[in-house]
Amino acid sequence: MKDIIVTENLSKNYKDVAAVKEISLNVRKGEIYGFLGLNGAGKTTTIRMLLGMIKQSSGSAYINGIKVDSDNTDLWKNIGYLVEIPYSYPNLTVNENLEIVRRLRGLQKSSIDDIISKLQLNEYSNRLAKNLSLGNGQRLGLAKALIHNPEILILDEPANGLDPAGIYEIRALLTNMANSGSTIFISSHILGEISKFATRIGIIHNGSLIREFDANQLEMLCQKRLIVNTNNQKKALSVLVQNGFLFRPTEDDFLESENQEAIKHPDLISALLVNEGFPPTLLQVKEEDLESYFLRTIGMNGGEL
Amino acid sequence: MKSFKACLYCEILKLKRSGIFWITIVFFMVVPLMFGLMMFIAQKPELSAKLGLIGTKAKLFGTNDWKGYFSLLIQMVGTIGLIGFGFVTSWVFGSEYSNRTIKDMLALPISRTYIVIAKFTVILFWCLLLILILYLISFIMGLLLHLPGRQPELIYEFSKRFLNTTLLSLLLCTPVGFLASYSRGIIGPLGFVIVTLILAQFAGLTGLGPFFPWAIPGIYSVSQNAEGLSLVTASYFILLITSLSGFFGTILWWKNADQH
Repeated sequence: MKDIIVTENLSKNYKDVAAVKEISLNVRKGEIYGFLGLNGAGKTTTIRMLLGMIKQSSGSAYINGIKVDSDNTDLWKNIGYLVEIPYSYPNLTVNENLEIVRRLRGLQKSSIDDIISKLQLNEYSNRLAKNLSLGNGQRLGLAKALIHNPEILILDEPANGLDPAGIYEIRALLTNMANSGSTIFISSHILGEISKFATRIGIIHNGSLIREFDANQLEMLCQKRLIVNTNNQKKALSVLVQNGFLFRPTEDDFLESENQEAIKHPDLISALLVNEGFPPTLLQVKEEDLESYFLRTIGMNGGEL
Repeated sequence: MKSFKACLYCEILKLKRSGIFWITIVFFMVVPLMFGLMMFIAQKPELSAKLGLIGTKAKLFGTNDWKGYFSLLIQMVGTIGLIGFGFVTSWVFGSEYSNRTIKDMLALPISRTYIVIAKFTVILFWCLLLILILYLISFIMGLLLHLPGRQPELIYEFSKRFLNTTLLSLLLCTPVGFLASYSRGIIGPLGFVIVTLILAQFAGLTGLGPFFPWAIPGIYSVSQNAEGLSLVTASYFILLITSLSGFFGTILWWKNADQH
């Protein structure tokens, strides 16, 4: 598959501070690339470099095989973007704000009506931007990014301020776009959301890309544990260990194991405990989610299950 | 050209919808009305004595005829122009940063150079409109006050100097545009305008006025009447270089500086 967004050792230094350190990533056509990181990890700086808003200290970025350069105006024709909180001209209506983008992008008049109905902004079209709620302001920002049906979307925290229904709509919209061949690069701190639709994930921490994987690899990468509870934990633990299953007691008095055999066949554990007279009152396979995996990857305690 | 037209349309739309546009128009209407009022007071010595400070100020007009009135209006344009035009430029560039809409203009299929030129074009026409309002209302006030000494040559000379002072002041908008972009807001360039006005006074007092860009329009406006205070050819070059530096500096800043 064709690489649409490529960075090669992309770095940005501010005096002595290295905001982004030699990031090399590639986003393929039709992918939804989730770019995850804590605040200050370097997500927005990377996105700004991809959009030619700031110049890299070293390395390079390519979009559609063309080196990113703010002067190359043709490059931006097929790119839609949203950086951090979207702001609009406060004294202009939703329609007028979109009219500005339409003119600057040289689009047909109908593009405004199309995007307004796509993002369900119809009833707000004549409302001043300064009177919009946070969520509708975000929708307007997305409308500006999507008005030209871009082949490439670069979005920084697009779900900010949206309610759950809004997040669902945007997810569906972006998934549809990706299915139609658009490539989406999206940063977010709502990890559960990203895990629902990203096809590829990169984790940035302290300016470095520390992990990059396909979303379907997540299940393999995420740790699983079998949690067991009985009426006699001490004896149950002894039975399990004697039968070759390595379990350990947890702080909240459960028994847990990372033994792959036990995780794959909890029925065996259940049968063993029943036969030995310690029937389980709880038998649960706990799977790490993206959030826990992310926190574990960047070395934070919250990564524990 | 199509891209430039699009940029210009957008700048005009933003301007039309802003409260600032109408506030500046009202301001440039009120100023000549105030000058007309003072001229009216100066014409009536009995009123002038009763009104204390306003009366004293009104006496500064010198002769109460068209010549004295025109002379004061030209001096006013030198100062009001710098402040008004500086304010307009600060708003056009600075509001993109204070509204945080600048990032929407940076990755578009349109050159940033066109955006900057469109902004300066809007500033030019906005300022010329304000000056036209000032000119017309001042003239109407003079007519209403029945000032003596109205001669076609005097009106022509006044209009020429009024326009030239305006154009010289307009040249100084470009450094303000650069500072608004550099400081990413409105406050920085406004502070700059005030500082340059103070420095222009100081430069005028020390005899360096003809070589200090921000003193040049003011000196041009009064040089006919002031002995030992006149511009030299270098003055115009200094002003032009300052203006071009501001213009190209703004374009280069928009094109090359990191935009956060």
